[in-house]
Amino acid sequence: MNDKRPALPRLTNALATPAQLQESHTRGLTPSLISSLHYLGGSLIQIAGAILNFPDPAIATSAIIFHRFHLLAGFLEPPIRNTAAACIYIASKSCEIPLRPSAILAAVDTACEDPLAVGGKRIPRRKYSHANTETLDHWELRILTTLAFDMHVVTPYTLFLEYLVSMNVDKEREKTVAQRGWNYINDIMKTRICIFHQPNVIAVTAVWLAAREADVEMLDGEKWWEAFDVDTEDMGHVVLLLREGRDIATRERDRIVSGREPTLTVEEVKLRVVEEASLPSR
Amino acid sequence: MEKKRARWRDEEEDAVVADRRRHEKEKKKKAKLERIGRERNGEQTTTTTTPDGKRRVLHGTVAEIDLTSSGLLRFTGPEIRSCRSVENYERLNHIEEGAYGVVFRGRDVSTGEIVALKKLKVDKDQHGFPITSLREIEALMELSHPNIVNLKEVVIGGALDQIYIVMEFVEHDLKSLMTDMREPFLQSEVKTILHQLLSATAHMHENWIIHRDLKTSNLLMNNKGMIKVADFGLARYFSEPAAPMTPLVVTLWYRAPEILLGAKQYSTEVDMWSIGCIFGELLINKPLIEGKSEINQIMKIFELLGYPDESSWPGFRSLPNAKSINIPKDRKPKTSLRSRFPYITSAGVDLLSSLLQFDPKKRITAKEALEHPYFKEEPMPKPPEAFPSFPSKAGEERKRKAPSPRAPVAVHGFEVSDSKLLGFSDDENDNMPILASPSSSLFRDNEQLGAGFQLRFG
Repeated sequence: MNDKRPALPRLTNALATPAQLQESHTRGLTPSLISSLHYLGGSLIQIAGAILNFPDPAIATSAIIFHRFHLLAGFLEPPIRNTAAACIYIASKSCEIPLRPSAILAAVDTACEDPLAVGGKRIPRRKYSHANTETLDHWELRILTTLAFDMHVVTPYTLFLEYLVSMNVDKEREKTVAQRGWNYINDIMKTRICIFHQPNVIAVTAVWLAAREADVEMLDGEKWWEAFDVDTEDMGHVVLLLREGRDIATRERDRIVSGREPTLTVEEVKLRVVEEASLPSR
Repeated sequence: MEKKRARWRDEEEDAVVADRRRHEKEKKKKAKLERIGRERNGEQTTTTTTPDGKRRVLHGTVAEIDLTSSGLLRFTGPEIRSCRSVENYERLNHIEEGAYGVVFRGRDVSTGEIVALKKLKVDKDQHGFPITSLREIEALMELSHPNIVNLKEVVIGGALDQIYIVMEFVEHDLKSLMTDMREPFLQSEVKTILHQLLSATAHMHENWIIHRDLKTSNLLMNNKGMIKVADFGLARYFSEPAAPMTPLVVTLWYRAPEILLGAKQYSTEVDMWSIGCIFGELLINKPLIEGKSEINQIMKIFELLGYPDESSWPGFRSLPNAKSINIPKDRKPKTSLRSRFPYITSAGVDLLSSLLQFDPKKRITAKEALEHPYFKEEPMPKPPEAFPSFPSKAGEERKRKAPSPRAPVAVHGFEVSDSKLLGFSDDENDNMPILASPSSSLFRDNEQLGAGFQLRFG
């Protein structure tokens, strides 16, 4: 426990160990349900963050804290809607962008009505009174202690821009790639990718995906990502998980469209476990 | 909201620049570590030529190291893990009650090591977990230096709000030591203390952290003469160029003139000013500039150092609070550093005045100060282990009184930039109690401002 941080603290994040992953799969939830719940939470945080005008890197910080916490704590006790709010609360402190607890609660509540943004834009309904922040404080402490107060989070946005600039793409197209890549990172933050891969891997993959989509050829087909210490295998894994995230989004949206409730409370998670058990196994 | 966004964007850009520098620095550091590692393993330090021309272009000095068989640098982060239980420590005795909680001496049950356990106050009425504690934990986790108090871990008790920071145990704090001393420290001792403080500060600044509350009561000293900087409750990360920060930092007597004059942006230089004040205090065994209020503090600074003008501090007139200061026609300083410190060498006076420069840009940096001739002339710095040992107060069950005023308490540490808070426009404030005393009207103002967890943009 007395180990100090490794030599590159400003570039690296704490990641999940294989043992932790294995354990997260022994709590009665299927891997696909676990991925879905991570995605729902990530999406909830992004919508609530947008309502709060929270900058993307701060939203990403909230999401990374969320994914780390649920890796260790699972989903059978902590309710997503409460932990999502608490993660935004913690990120607002560690990013020094203060938000009122009541505003966070109102925003998360609004986001919960449509956690996958199936409908249109939302407006926060009402302000909360001070008394309702007790639950928020509780989950804040639970998250902090579960993560040993290590709120050191590196988001990939600055690395992404830095890598992109160093690629010397012409200005007009650089802008397109920057926007698309930025959105890719936002999507990545909804998934668990950030507890599997370091920010440099995510940043490089975002550059690669955006460049490919915008039809920008980088360095004549050379393996330029190796210059940023990223190998093809890691990039492939990120792309795979990102695709899985999109499948989850479709699946969960279909559920909501077909009239079922999004799985946001512990009760709903339990019902979902039963529901999945009754389905024919894939 | 628009304003907030715009501000963020600026910060984003700054962060990009800052991050790039950091990136390069870290890579160099890693490269160095690698070399050291190889040397230790008895391997030859060969500078391998890069097979890939592009790598050299992109990463400069790093291009010459190969770390894995594939030639890629592997970034390994720490594990995601949870707090251990406080049961891993045996509670020994009470040490002190500070602004942020109670401190106990304890023993690690498995190793027998003596540690300090600081119980954090989690006030239900406040806005959740205090941001000051979050900052302190983050800064201490990041910093690893022989002259910075070592944070071992954070542990929890039975209830959710029983949270303890486990730190290395250090016997004394400098302030109480000095209070009990009849004579000031010897020159050689002052040099050792100051050099260690500068070394710790240089390390913080290199890691983009400003302490913002350096003072003798936050400097701990163990029985081996080692100084340990503690209390990072006001510390924060900085970027270049600087982002707006609260003026409500640094205990009054150690507060830099740019903060007193309401500068919205300040940086590592504020720590250097505090070190100047500490240096002076070590020499005379009492606080160097003991103001009673902000305005009184700045007046005392001018009494000691003379009045600044456009040549000694370009642009100071445009600082928010500078307008309300009357600079008398007769600008001669009433005293000078030389006459205040008749017994130190001219190198000593030179270092002190470099630390107490009005213009932050001209103020000496920690790194420069470490190389100052003062440390290379007789009497040479005393080896830490040759320091006299003092009876430990903390080891016995004795409470320490708060010997100097506390740092101002900004609203949960969030940035508040309202120069009116400083009471500058009101000369009657001259006799006002020191800022952070809870009875002070100013303190209550802060609290009011804090209600609702709101950020104000000046």
